[in-house]
Amino acid sequence: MTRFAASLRRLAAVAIVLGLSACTAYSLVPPMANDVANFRVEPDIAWNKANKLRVDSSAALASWTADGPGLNNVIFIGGVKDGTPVLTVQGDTGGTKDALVFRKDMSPSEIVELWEAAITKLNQTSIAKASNIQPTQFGGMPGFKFEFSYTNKDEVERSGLGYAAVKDGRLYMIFYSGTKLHHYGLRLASAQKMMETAQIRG
Amino acid sequence: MTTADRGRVLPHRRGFLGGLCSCSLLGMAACATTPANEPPMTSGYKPAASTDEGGLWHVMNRVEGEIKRSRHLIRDPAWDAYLRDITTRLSADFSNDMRIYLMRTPYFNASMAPNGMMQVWTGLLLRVDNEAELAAVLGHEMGHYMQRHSLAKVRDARARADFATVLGLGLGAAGSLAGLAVMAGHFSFSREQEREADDIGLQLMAKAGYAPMAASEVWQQIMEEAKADPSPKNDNVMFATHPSSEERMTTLRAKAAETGVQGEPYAERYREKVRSIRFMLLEDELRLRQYERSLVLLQRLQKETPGDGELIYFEAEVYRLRAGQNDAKTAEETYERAVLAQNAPPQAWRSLGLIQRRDGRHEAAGQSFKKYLDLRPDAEDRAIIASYMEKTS
Repeated sequence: MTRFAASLRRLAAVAIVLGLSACTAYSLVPPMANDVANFRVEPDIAWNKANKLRVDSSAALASWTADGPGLNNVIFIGGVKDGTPVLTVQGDTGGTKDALVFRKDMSPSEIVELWEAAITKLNQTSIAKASNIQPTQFGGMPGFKFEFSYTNKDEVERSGLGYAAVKDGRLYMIFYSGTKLHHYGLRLASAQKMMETAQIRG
Repeated sequence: MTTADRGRVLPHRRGFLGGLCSCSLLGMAACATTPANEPPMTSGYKPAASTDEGGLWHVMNRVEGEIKRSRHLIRDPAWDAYLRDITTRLSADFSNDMRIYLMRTPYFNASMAPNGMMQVWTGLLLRVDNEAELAAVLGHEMGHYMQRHSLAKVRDARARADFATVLGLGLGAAGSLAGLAVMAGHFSFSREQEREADDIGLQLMAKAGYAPMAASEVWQQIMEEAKADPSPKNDNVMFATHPSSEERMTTLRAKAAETGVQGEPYAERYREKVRSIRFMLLEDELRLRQYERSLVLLQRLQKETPGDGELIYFEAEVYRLRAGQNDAKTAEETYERAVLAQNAPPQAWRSLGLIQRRDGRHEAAGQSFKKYLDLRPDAEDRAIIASYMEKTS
């Protein structure tokens, strides 16, 4: 059982990956204009920003939650450089570096495939699926949005909505995800409004 | 570790290929030690609740309850019946004592818990070529059950925990049965136990009319894949924990020859069975982005069924996603072969279009995308594909 043992080690490091953080302190983000991870956003509710993340990227990163890191999250990935991974787990030797590389010539379809692979690899799940990719404006420029769903090792089904665009060869993305049963829907309207009106500042 | 994690971890780590020995957990256990033998299992056996074995079964029954509720469990009566048929064929006596769960997990593994709960991962289904090879893995796991290897391991772990307590090593909650069960799950079976399970599996196969040689072929295929994997951890797992893999394969081959049984591989009926879920399995495989392993797997599968458009498509997908030097060209050539072959999925046209679009050949890309949407009018990515076509027209 080759991969599984390695997966266990990684799992311990990853914890709640889409929260990008675990057991860390949070700071209050008031409902007003905020500069975060190379974006300017204007949330209409208060969020909580994780002060420490467990993942690295060539992009500026931030993770917010309204109700708790396992319940709902907004992830900001502000400007992934061409030829670098979207995310890597700190200390991971499990191949996320090589497997999750963004290239500036990727189409939206390929970026969404990349995100699907990221969820699969980082969350150690086989049940991850992105769907309904649509062209849309994002960050003040042509971009796209898509939906996704995944089930973690905790067996909780989660839903997600992502927005992305490539500007000057860098990838900018914001995702909202939460437990399908309750917490995804609870903050969806606020999160969606914030993502739709976000501006890229990079 | 959460209860859910424990449920997924414990049985898995004692799987067909064993697990990475977590010797550091106790800081004292030698992985190669041999737990004392327990009397073999008898069919219909249930331990008394007051015994340590009864307690162990109780823990595993709880884990099994979680497995039953898992979203990773493939709930397909036809697959359940198929796997049940194989175990019944291997041993009608013990088959009724076992419950088999097919888990959607794209790695090669099967595992057996002491209470008769067997898990088979979908990555295994992709990696065996015929029913005899699948039977070799299931027979091996049944061997662990029939020889009560897990109980021996737990008793061995407890002896070590008691010993550690005497030495003041302070294992805390590990002294509880559940703790011991979890701890024991971190240890591989001993080599002797693995050999014993191999022998039993081989005997069961020969008796059931399966080709016993299939057992060594499984090992050969897994080793080929592992050797192709350039990731550093590969060295730590396959070869560090199984230094005798090659020897084990050779031994299995020699022992298979000794049985004097030719047996049947039942390749065609196995392929028919897998074909119904193969696209999903290959999508799961692709998402792992373990390119070199996947290429070994896909090229081997194509040897078994040449000209299979679905397999050619997935090979092309690996090149496209790997995006190394010359990969775009290789991917394009491979997609072009795929779309000319039988049963190529419409997605081959979509991916071909993505490669052409990336290369700036917008007219060709537009034609490929159009072909994709014609073949798949209800494509869920229609909107974005249509947007590519607008830009290319």
